[in-house]
Amino acid sequence: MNLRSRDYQKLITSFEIAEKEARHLRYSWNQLFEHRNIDLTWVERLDEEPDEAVVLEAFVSRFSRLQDHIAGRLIPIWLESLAEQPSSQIENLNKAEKLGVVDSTQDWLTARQIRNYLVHEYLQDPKSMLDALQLTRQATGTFFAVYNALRSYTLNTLPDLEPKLPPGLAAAE
Amino acid sequence: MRLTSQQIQTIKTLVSEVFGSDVRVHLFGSRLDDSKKGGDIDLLIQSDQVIDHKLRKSASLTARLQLSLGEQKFDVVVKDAQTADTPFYQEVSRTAAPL
Repeated sequence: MNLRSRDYQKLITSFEIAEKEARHLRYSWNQLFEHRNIDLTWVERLDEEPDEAVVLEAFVSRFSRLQDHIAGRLIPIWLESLAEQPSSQIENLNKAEKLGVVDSTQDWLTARQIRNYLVHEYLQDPKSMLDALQLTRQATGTFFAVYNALRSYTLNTLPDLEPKLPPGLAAAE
Repeated sequence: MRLTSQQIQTIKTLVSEVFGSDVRVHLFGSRLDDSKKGGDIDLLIQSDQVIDHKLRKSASLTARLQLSLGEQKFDVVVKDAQTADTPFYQEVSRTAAPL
């Protein structure tokens, strides 16, 4: 196996991981936003409802995992496949924005802050928590769109990978 | 205070873009200590009014700061008319320096 095909294997594996993470995130997203009414009362009762808190925990954890994987692994490996030199995460996101696969680096970083809030300021302020959940609800759709855009871009530049890449994702909502 | 005048100007501009011009911006934490190196940039945003969507705005401010000043750690704390005056805020207000 030459260097190039080994690099593509890394890219394929990274897409496979992202697709699994996205499927599990979608499950948790549905559990939370389709099967429950997420309002202030729900958030305020979380402290006494450990089963509900588990559902939230799974969502936040899967949200973080997919975001970290896309920005920290998939985008750098994808940039390498285009013979671009990966750099800091912000620089990589900026490049991805210029190439049209990420709508807004700023929105991406904002979503990362929001998720840090959900992880570290757990149940401190119900109003902010609800606000954070509404934002992560929308951002999940953004992650799926970025995955799809990366996949389409890759299939345009490397059409031979078509049978090897996992499928595209249906939009959230 | 370990911030350059250019960094201070950028911070003030971005704060007013996100929160409007009626808020006050203070620096607190380790960046006030000239004997230290590096460290988080801790910012206190204060208003006598109620600020809507505090979390959303502070996350957006942090993202803009990272884009303008680089990927370092910013800690943005917002205190508005509805925020309880806890010992944390009392300590921060006592030591914070206006930008």
